[in-house]
Amino acid sequence: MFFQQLVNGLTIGSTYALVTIGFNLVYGVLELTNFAHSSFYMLGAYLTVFSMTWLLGRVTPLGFFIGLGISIVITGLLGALMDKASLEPIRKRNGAPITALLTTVGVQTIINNSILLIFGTESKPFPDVFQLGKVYVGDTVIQIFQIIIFVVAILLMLGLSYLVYRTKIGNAMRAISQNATAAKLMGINVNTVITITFLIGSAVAAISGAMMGTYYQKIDTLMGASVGLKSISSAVLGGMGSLPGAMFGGFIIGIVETMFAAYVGSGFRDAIAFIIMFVVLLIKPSGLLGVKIETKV
Amino acid sequence: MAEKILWANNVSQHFGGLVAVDQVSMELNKGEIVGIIGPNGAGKTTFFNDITGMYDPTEGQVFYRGKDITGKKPYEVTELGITRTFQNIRLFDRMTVIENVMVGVHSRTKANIVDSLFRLKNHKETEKKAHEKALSVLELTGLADFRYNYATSLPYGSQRKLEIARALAAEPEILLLDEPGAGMNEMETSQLIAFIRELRDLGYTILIIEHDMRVIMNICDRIYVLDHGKLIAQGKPSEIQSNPDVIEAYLGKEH
Amino acid sequence: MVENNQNPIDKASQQNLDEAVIKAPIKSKEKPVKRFFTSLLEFWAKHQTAISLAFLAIAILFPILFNQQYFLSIGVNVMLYATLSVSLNLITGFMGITSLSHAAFLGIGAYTAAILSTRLGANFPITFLAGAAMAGLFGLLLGLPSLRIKGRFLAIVTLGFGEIARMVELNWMSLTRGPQGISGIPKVSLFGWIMKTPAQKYYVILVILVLVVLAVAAIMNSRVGRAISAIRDDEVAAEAMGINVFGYKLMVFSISAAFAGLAGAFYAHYMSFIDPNAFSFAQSILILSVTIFGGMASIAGSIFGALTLLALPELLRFLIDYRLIIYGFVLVIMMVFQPNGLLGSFNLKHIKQQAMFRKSQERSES
Repeated sequence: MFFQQLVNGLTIGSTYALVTIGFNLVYGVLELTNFAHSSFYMLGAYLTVFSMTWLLGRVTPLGFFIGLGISIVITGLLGALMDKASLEPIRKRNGAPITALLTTVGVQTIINNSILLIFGTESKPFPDVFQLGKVYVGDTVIQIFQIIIFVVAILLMLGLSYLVYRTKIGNAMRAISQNATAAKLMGINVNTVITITFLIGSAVAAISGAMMGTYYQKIDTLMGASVGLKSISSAVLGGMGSLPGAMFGGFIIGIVETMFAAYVGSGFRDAIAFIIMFVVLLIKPSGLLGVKIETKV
Repeated sequence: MAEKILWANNVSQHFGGLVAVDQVSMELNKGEIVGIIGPNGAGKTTFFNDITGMYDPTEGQVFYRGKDITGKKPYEVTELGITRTFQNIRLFDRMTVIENVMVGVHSRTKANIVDSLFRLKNHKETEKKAHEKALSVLELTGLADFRYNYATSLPYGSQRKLEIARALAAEPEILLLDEPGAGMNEMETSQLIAFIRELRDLGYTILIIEHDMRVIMNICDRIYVLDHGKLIAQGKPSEIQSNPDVIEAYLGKEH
Repeated sequence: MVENNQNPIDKASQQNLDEAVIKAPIKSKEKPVKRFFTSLLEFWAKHQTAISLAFLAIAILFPILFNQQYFLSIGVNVMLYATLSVSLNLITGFMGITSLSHAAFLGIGAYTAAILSTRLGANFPITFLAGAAMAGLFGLLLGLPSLRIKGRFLAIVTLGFGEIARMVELNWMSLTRGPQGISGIPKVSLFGWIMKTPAQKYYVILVILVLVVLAVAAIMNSRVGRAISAIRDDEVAAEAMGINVFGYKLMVFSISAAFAGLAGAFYAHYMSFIDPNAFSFAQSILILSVTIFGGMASIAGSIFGALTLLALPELLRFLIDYRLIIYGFVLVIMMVFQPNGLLGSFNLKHIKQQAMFRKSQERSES
């Protein structure tokens, strides 16, 4: 019973982690709470299933991967477009951080309601093309796809960490996050690097969306909203801007939520994430693995 | 004998492993102008922050008129009679010059939200006093003609003056000036020197941080020298000028 | 604390610019369009009271001229959002704290009024006062731990609070009846006189709007208002000038929440049915969009914003499906081009003072 709950909690946690990793990539570079991230996640799921079933008509693993490829490209480009069209002008004007935050809220509203208008409110089936089955460990049931989600979450974390810490573009990202002005003086094309960050972050969101669609076998227009807010909680808990923090924050929130539902009652399970977030922000705003927030007079 | 009104006793300020202010003691007598000098990063502004409650000193106490004010909130320190200006000008951007100064009168008026909602007597008295006080301070500082301009539309030197005007509106006994002459040209500096002397004649006691030695040597009765958070010298301007430690601290830094 | 991002080079060039501006003679070669707007603003600033009264007169006459359910319901909607937007403007526009939880306070006020009236048979003025008081109390409870947090983290905390409030509304079945909501909420009755026609309901929200507008205007034109503006512009300097920044933030946050709760009580009586969906994050965003679109720190802006964003889509019926998408674009476009909103860049009081001062200077010269 306990291990079953742990597996379920870890799976839900992995979904939060998947979304939070891309969110924290952007936050790490720009210190921007990107509310539109969860919309790209939902958009990624819709575009994958749309490409796979209606565009290609191939409900096969190959169709899934082609659909996912199309989805990644479009979602990534839209993320880059959001930055170029709305966030870059604000940066150039040296606008207040809250201005950029509200811009992403606006983009979120646009994407969510556009999808609502195009695909309707009712949930859409998302075919599970893999049909991987399940394994039994004692009396605990584990679906193979649960393991895959968990592994993908870790791989994405490692992959993005590699990108940030071991590649040229990653060096540029870290330089910008520490001091954008100095980075510019060192010859880094700050705006391009930031746009690429959004491109990667949104593309990762598309992967997460497609994974979730496959796991739950249905998607709806609210999937972004609920996971999006939870992923902000995960980010706060793990440490805003930290990639390993995003993963652990997601895992912990998922497990705590599931345990709470199993042993206390399911009524307030959705409130747990926010209560955790609330407490972390009040006690240790930098989270578990985040960098200390400097204050200065 | 001089009347000691402000006394800092072995004040230290640590930030993690960094010791920004290290066991600094100093005193200020009624009616004096006392200078704090030292190279950049010597801990001068941090020490101001410790006195005015912006920081909580790691060690030591600050006494004002015999009362321990260590750890008091900045607004409480202002209410008690110690007001400061800022090294990096911090005016209220979207308020006019007169409104900036009227904010300074805040701690000397008392209309609360209920008074204002119902336009009670307290509200009217407060508005009258705030307006009159602000105007008189603006006339003293020569800014009255710009009173309805936005604070940030003033030339740089006037913005520094407005910072002082705003602090004066709080009717302080002690005025803490953090580099009031920074960025001023020769003429503005001369005006500033005359103005600070005028303030002393009006009865204010002044503690001033300044890099411009012309200002410091001209107006200060006594000077404290900080370096790397430590107090390395104190005394009359003439003594400080010939103090070997001070010369080393400055030359060692600049050469 | 607020970081200082003015480097000396900027300051120096700013200085030259400022001197040039100050030395330039007033009424230089401005573009005709700009001059027209300047004089229009001056006219508005000088006759602000008269113009406000004229608008009030139009609002009072509206139900007589357009006495149809449809028009009146639009009118109620506009004034409800104007009330919410003015109250949000108090903290977000005037004091500079972005709150993403205004819908939660609307909901707390609405649920308080709904529960008191359906269970205990209470009505005006108790339900309205209780709705406002309860929302104000929760504003206080949220503000106490969180108002020391800075900027965007505070925005996230308010977002979290909004979600928790909705979870409670959804799950505390015995009190709120969960997702089914509360129905059969009685109409507003003024000491036995029941407000049942659309026009009567319209006048109730009009009175609430006028009261909230008068209150916010009175607050902003006072010592407290100056403290609020000072906190918005520079918290550190405000504190150094003797303002108890945290205390003021707490008070203003709570008052703003209470006004939203008052609107919520009206909403419950007006709709006669409430459920948690009405008080979601999207609702908070809508209120915030109205405030930002109309203008930060502008009461007239909030009213204008509500009029535009709530009434315009009704007039353009074919746009009704696209309404939320349009709000999204409004938010983005405003943030990119005019983050202070349409009327948020001018302060009528300042314009009036400057105009009168200029006139008195000219008079003394001649």
